[in-house]
This record gives sequence, C-alpha cells and structure tokens, in this order.
Amino acid sequence: MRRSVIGSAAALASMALLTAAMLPLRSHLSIATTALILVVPVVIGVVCGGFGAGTVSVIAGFLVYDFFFIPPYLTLWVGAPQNWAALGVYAAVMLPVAHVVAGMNAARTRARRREREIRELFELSDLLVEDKPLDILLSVIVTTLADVFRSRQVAIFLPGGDGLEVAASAGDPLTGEELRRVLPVPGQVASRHAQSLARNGLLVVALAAAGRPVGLLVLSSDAAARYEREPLLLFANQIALAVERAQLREQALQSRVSEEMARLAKTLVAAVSHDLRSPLASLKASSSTLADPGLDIGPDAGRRLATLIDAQADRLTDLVQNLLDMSRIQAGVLQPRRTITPLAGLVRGLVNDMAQGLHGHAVRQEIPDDLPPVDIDLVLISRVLTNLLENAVRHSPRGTAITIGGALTAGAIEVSVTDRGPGVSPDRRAEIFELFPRREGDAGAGLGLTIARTFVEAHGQRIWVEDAPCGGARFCFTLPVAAPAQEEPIPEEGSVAADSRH
Amino acid sequence: MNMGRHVLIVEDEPSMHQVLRLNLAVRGYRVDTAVTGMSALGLARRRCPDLIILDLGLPDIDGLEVIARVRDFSAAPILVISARDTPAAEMAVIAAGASDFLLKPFGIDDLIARVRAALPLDACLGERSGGLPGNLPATTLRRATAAAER
Repeated sequence: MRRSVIGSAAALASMALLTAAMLPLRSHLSIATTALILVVPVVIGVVCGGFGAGTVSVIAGFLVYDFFFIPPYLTLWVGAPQNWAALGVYAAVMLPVAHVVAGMNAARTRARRREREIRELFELSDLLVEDKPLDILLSVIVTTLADVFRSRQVAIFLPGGDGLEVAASAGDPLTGEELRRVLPVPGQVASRHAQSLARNGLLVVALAAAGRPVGLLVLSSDAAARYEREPLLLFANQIALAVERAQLREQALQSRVSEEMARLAKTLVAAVSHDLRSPLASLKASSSTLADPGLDIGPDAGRRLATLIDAQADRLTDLVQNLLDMSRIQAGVLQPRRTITPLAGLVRGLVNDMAQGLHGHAVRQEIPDDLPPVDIDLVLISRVLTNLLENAVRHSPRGTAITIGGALTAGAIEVSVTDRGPGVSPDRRAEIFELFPRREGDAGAGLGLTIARTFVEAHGQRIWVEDAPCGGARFCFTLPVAAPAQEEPIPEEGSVAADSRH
Repeated sequence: MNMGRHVLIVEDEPSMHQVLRLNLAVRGYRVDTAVTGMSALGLARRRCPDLIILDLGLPDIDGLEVIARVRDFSAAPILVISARDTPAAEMAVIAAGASDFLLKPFGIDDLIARVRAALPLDACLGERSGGLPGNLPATTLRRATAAAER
C-alpha cells in the first residue's frame, strides 16, 4: 500500500514537472509528442508503485493531457475528432503498458528473490558438505532460514530422550502451547517424506531422508506463507541429509574406535604373553630341574637354581606391577607421586641394585653433581631407567660399557642411556616405543620401552632414541627440574626400589 | 653315553642359559654358550657341536637367519626354543632346517628328552658300564641306563 502511495506521488510529481515544462512550448509541440512525453510519469509510477500507482498515473495523465494539451485548452471538452483518437489511444495503450511494466517489475523482483534463495541454499549446501559437527550445522541452518524466510521463529526438532527435542532454534522460542500443537504424539510417525503443513500460525515441515523420518522443522508461518513452499522443502531435504550424515558419521567413528580397541587388546595380549614367557621359561626350567627326583646336582647348584627362581619371580612381579601401573596411567586413574631428588643419587642406587642384572657390563655414570634436582615419581622413573638399562645390556656386546648421562637443557634435565650395540635404524626409531610391532620379529622387544614411554609421558616429558657417536643406540628422556621454592625431604639413596607401591 | 657330546646353547637370557648349561653339564654333555647370533655362528664353525639349542629371540640377528647360515656348513640337529607360539613360526623354523621346536616355558625333562632324541645314544657304549667315567653321579647313570633300555 505504501509503495502505491509513493509511486503515485512520484508519478504525479513528475507529471506536474513535465507539464510545467511543456506548457510554454505548447504551440511548438505536436499532440503526439506531448502524449509520448506523458508516458514517462506513468512508467515512473508503475516502477515505483506497481500497477495501482500506474493506474492512478494513467488517469492523471489522461486528465492532464486533455486539460492542458488538447484544444480547447483548460477544458475537458475535446474539439477535433482526431484528438479523440489521440486521447483514446493514450488511455487504451497506457493501461496495458502499465500492466506489462508492473508485471515485468514484479517478475524481476521474484527472480531476484529466487536468486537469493538459491544462493543461500547453495551456501548452505556448501556448508553441509563440510565435515562440521552437527550442532554447528544446525545453528547455521536455523539462522539462515530465519534470515531467508524472514521468520520470527525457527526451530529444528530431532529425536532424543523420549520424543522430539529442540536441537537448534533461532528467534523467539516456541511456547509450550505451540509445541503441543506442533509435535506429533510420541510413537506416531510424523511423515516419511518432506512435506509441510500449516498448523495454527506455524509451518511444520517433516524432515526425511531415504524414506526415514529424521526430524521436524518448525517456522512461524506468517513469513513462510508469503513464499512458495518449494524452496522450503528444498532446504528441508538438505537439513535431513545433513542430520543423517552426521548420525552415520557418529556411528562410523564408534565402530572405528571399537576396532582400534580390539586391535590394541590383541596386540597387548601378544606382547604381554611374550614378556611373561621369558621369566616363566627360566622359572619352569629351574624348578623342574630342582623337582627332578632322579637328579642330584649338588647343594651349590641347587642354591644357584633357587636364587635364579627367586630372581625370576621378582622379575615377573615387577612386570605385572608395571603393567598395572601402565594401564592405570592410561586410564587416568594413577597420578605420579612426585618427590624432589638428585638424579646422580637415584642412578647410583639403581645401578647398585641391578648389579647381577648387568651381566658384567660396566656402567659409566656421567652426571654432574651440580645438576639441579628433578621432580619425579621415584618408582615410575626408576622403572624407566631399569628398562633402558636392561635393554642396553641385552643389546651390548660382551664386555662393553654402558653410559648413563645427565645434562640440563632448555629448562629440563635430559637423561641418556648409551650402549655400544648395533643401534636403531632411523625408520624404526618411532616404532620401537609402540605397542604394535610392525614386523613379526619385533615382538621380542617386549613391553619395556612402551612402559618407559608411558611413565615418562605421565610426567609430561618425552622419550626418544638417537645414534650414539660410537655407533650404538642412545636412548634419551627428559625430566622436569624441581622448582627451587619447594623444600621437600630428599629420600636416601638406595631406598628407591622400595616401598611406595600404588 | 653322553660323553663327548658337545652342545652349543644359543640364548641371550642369562638365567635361561645358566639353567640349561647346568642341566646338560650334570648329564655329561660338554656345553658352550653364545648370547648373540654372530658369536653363535663363530662358535659353531670353530667347535662343530653335535647339537645346537637355539633361542629365536636374539638381539642381533633373527633366529631363522642363524638356522639358515648354520645349515651352510653343518648338518648338526638344531633344537629351537621360543616364546612365539604361532603355527606359522613353528613351520618357518622347521622349513628353515631346524629339527625340533619347543615352546617356552617348558619343563626341563621335556627338553632333555628332545636332546636325547636328537642325539641317538651309541648302543655299544650304553651296554658297557666300564667304559664310563667314574665321576658321574650314580643316579644319572641309573636314569640313563633305564632310558637306554626303553
């Protein structure tokens, strides 16, 4: 309505202007020329105000034309017959012209609106093919719908709990009353195909993908009714597809996680059983020797075997304890219990305790005495050092020395265990800490390095292996430096392996 | 009857080769031990053992490789001990030229039985007690004779 008024006003104003301009030249202008010029205000009126304003302009133009430009002037009476023709043609032609121009204008507006909807739909579908989480997608969708369809309320309902729940909304939230009117009774299927129904001022669109109902889209219908339902259904299909895709993605992720866990469990069982079998084999061999009634090996040999059994039992206990600690750390249940201790003392105690286990290899300790103390869980880090030493012993040629070093680098203490064995080739450096042996033979490496890594990483530090200058392997890990302000009693050397079982 | 029978034990686990050495020595075998594949090959070449007991999980080269290389110069029986229990592992070992496969953990009597099976007793020696050295425990002697009679 307002547009018509503006249009009419514009038409009349321009008509007045042109009339005023033409009046002085009345005698020089032919009647046809005047008519043509008076077409302009009508077009202006139609373009600005639609057909209504156009009609007003035509009537005004007719009157002005008759009054001012057809003799006798300043009357509505028409003198000559051909002037009747001119007037008649003016009216007869202008009205259809106004109609056509109004129609073209309306079509252009519709086309622009449709173009905008398509553009919005395209942008939305662009977004929907990205791998975004469902909640982000839905909130963009409702905002876009509210914008494109100029809806006061937009809400998407998805199945959840018992019945449908609001998954995203834009604008005013729907009242309880409105919800009750809109939502289907629980258990009843709303629809298997996208379709829209108007219910009491709200437009309800069923979202369905592959013939399966997926959810509901609700819009305030005063806005949506203005437009054709088709673009809305197009949006609805896109939404349904996006929701379905997000749900399938969720399912795929879940099954991938289950697969990974099954694989991990299988490999863990293989690695554990291998690591358990070695001490068990020595145990079994020793005990069956001692148990043999027909065999007399002498008391010395007997004691040696008994000592061996004892040592292997300890080794098994340690292994079991470490596996438990490792799984607790990975489950987030076990937290390292930190104590401040100087590294040199810790290493000295450990090497002393290991004595037999070193099998004749000398251990050189290159740890400066003025190295700042470390803030660590004694039990866990002792295990790390023990595992690395055992690994070095296992790979070192007879009689060679193993070196344990400590140095302060970039805010942490870097500990290294270097051997003169065959070293680790670059392509295997990451793998050897892994639980998954890529090659058949790797199972022999056992869990020692994996356990070491878990314990080091539980302190927020890292562990790695590099080439030693003499050709062997150099295993390194970092430890946190103790903050100077804390004063805690430093445990005595040698009590490292002791008591603090978790 | 086990006199002079020379066994090479290739096993990197010290506790394991201590037990094996003890059991074999007390039964009269001469025992050498190696803790790496390379040293085992060297010893086998120089000393020509009558039997090799080989653990697959060696730190330097794979046990299968050791079997293959030993077969280049020796036909001595190879008794493999391993913690790998897949059928494929056992087949690979036999295919490479080993004579027996024993899964860890095993009872020592099982091992000794297989050692004996791999080194058939010299029937002549077994019948003459005079040909045996005096420092063997009587019990061992009794058991060995009983085994020979079975």
